[in-house]
Amino acid sequence: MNNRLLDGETSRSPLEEFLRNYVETVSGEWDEVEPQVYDLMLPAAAALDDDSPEAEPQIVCVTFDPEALADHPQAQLASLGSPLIDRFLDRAVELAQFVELHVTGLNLQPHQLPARITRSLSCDDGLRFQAHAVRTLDFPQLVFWFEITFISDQREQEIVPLGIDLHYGRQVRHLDALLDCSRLVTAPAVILPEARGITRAAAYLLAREQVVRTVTSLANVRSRELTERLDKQVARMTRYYDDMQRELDEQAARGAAHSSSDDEKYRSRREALDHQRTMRIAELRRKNSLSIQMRLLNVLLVHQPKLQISGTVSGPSEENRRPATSENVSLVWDPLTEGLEAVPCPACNRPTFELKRGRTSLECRNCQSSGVSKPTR
Amino acid sequence: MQTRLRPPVVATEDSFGQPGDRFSVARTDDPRRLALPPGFMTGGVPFTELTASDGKPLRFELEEAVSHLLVPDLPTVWSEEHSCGHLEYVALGRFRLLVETAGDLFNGGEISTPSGLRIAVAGADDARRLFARPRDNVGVDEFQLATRAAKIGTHGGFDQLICLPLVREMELLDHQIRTAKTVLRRFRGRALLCDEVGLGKTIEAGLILSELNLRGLARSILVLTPPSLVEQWQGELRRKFSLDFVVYDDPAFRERGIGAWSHFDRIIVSAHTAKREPHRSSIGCRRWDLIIVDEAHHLRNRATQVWKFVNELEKQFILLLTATPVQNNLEELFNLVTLLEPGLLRTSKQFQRQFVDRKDKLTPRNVDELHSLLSEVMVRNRRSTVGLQFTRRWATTLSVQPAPDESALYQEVTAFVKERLGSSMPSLPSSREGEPSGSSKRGGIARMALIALQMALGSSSQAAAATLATMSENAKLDERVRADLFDFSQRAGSLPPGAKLHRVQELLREFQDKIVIFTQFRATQAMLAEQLSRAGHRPVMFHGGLSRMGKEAAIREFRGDARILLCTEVGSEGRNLQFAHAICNFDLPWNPMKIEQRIGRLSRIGQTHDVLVYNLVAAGTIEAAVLHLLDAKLSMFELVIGEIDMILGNLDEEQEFQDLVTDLWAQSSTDDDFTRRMEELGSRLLAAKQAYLKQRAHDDRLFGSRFAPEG
Repeated sequence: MNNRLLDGETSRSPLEEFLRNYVETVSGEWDEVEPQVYDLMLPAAAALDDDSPEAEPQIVCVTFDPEALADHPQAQLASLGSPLIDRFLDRAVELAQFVELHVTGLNLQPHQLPARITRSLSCDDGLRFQAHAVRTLDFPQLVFWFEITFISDQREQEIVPLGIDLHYGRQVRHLDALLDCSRLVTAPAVILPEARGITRAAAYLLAREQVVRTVTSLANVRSRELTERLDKQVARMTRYYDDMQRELDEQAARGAAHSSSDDEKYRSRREALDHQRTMRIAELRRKNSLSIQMRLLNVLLVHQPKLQISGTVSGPSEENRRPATSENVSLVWDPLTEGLEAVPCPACNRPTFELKRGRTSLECRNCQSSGVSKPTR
Repeated sequence: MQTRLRPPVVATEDSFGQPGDRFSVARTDDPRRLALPPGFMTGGVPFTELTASDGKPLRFELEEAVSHLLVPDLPTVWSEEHSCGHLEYVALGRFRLLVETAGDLFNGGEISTPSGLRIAVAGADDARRLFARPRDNVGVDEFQLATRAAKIGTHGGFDQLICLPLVREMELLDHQIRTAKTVLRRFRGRALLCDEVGLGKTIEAGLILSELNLRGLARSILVLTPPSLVEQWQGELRRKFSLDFVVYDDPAFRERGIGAWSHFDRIIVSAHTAKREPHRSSIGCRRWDLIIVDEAHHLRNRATQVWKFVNELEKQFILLLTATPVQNNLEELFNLVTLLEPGLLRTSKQFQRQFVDRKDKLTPRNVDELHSLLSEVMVRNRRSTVGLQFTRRWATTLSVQPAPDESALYQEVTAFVKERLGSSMPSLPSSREGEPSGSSKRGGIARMALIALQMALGSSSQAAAATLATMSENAKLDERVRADLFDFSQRAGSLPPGAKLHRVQELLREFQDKIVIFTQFRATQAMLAEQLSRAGHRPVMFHGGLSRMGKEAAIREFRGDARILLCTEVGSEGRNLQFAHAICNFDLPWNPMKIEQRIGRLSRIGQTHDVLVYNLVAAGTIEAAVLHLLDAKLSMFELVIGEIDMILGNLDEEQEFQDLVTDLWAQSSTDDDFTRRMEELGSRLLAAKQAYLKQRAHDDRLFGSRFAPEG
């Protein structure tokens, strides 16, 4: 029995909370018969993996307390690793394997937008951004939850969430704000055209690449540790069996001086040692081999309205140095962060908030310092 | 065909109708129909032409009521299940259908990292998820539930043990959790657990087992124990860790014959059985994820069959549990460690040369180096270092003189039992040639039933009456025997509550605080409840027949106003009663482990008072002799929990203590003879206690406090 009950505490375990939420979410009913004992009425699909419409709802009794099984013999024990709970967890994940939500409640008419843009976007001396049009578009962002599993003689799992902004094809930095459930709804207030962007598949590959980078560093640490241990243990074990072999040889040599009838005995002991050596080293290698698995658990497609601002960055010619400049630039104002998103550099495509004159086009500070495009003098 | 779409409400001008604008569309259950975004189709903007991505015109029909677009040729341009689509605005009234498919994503395989590691990717599953059609009515709640489920179902490193919330019927102690983490993280699941007695080696092993099992790292598990602990292990793993193990003796196991060893994945078996053929070969045929050896000091000698057997097994993880890894010489330690990590201490010869004093095989050399090597596989928690110091226990014997009627009944029933028990013992001198053997000699009464009757008699005449009445109804018994039993039961039932009750009532007057009164028998418990209630007390009953909620209510009541808890052993395990500090053993089990368990309900972490133990015995009974042996001779009540087990283990007896006492009693010709035999047993117990204390002192010198778990 759980001592918490005796102490009069009523706090529920995360698993118990989950069970209640799961049943409610799948339109079932739960009845707490007594503490930690529940009668559940579940739609067949949620209980039995039976999606047929005519399948009957299922009544299931579960308990989180093994001791309650004596009073409720029909109950199933609910614990991690029990088939029922594992099925519920899987179903809950499956239920939302791909979800599409919309962000609402954003200020789409920000105060003094031109001035805020000017403050955010730093232009070279003499350059100036002039907005021509502002459109509100739907900017889809895909958030991926990857599950990474490292298996050796330990098993560790991690969930790595990662968001990709399809418009710019870059990682979403403000994931927490984007996933703030108080702003997410299933239906949009308005229908907006989608901003152009990369495909879902491309976003997935981008996200996976990013996650692999994270995973690699984690895996390297584990792999190094395992390799070091394996080398040490194999060396130790090899030395042990070599020593055992040598001791046996010495014993055999001593024995041979007295009698030759022990040959067979020593031969079988040598074989046994060889067998042991092979088996133990194989055991060690199995134990210390690392395998890594990666799979996508859930995908959330978040539609968020943002402002797309089309304009030009222009500047007069500089005497004896550069001709007059005028380039079309498209900016994005994110009402969620209330800030301008970094612009892709026209020269190197890296995100930047600084635009400078380049030899042939506008460029960022990185381009200038790395000499990608030297200004004409 | 021309339909007008209404432009959406947006914050800025010119928001709709720019060439290149895209709107996502979804496939429906009907392969010819597309679902348009909600609210998209409410009139206003013309929709006159639809083409495929290659510019080929597509026939279509708008179904405004359901916001669908019927495209008869849709299956020819959008056939793939795992895909998504957009309507692209081309010019006024003209749209183009663009379809994106999963393409190569279905090819999973492996990704190689620059450092040469390979990451297996679930390509097909990932693609299916990426292009899954959102389910109806799936929104924020479902999304939150899914992420929570993923989190619950995902297990990080061993820093966080996922099995902890599932552990029942006990309070885990900090050192037990630290030990489990150390064994899993640092020792990678191969360890020698050498805690001092009573600190919970079994619990630690259970935690490790449970954790490995939950993470899918240990499916095939073999637990090797002494025969007497097989059922205890099975019960503890079931009750405390919700893990079902099959025991070698289970009918389900036996039915499968030798194939059972490969059929079942979680098996508990005595090492004694496992090491013998044909089991040995069958057990050795498979690879075991985890092997646990309890009382691993039986593996101290590598010349034994059991050592060789365990050494031969293929195993990923192995735990050896013993409080006394060394007894006669240090090589025993070498033998145990070599089972875990062959070569850690080099060969036996090298070990002797490097680490063992030439003159004294128990004295180590190069101690620091030895400790350093041992610290790679060994954990040893000590009472002094884990802060597990219990308050003292004070035992008082309350001896009573039974009333003449009580005494007469006791003598007669005892003679009845003894005659039947004794006559079946081959070693007994009174056993005569030509007599039938076994239960027929006992008049058909099973040995266990006779012992139970004798114990009931020692408890109360009410318990004896109930047991006798039940036995007298057994149609398999001889008529004469049944008549005797019936007669006894009538007499026992007619006796008033005995002298022990009066002594308890006196005790309750003398001791005014909360007290737990233990008895083995429900009939005794009922009698006590009735008599104490009559005397104005309000005792609370606690027994195995109560429901779980009933048990909780009883404990709650006792924690509250009630002063007396009348308790049977059954079901009391795991209940914390440390808010009380006195127990009264109304009757005394012959098994000292049971007595220890009773005391352990109160004498535990959280107990702030010394624990008072009142033992009630009637003079001249077996219980009185057992108590004399355990208390006066062995000072059992001064030992810490678990030590009595160690001492009994040192007795070198095949029999359980209870059976030993029963046989001594049955074999003795007179009371004096029984006393003499018990004295002899007492001397052996004292010697065993001395041996244990000597061994403990040596272990302390040898290991010190160097092997505490990390954290």
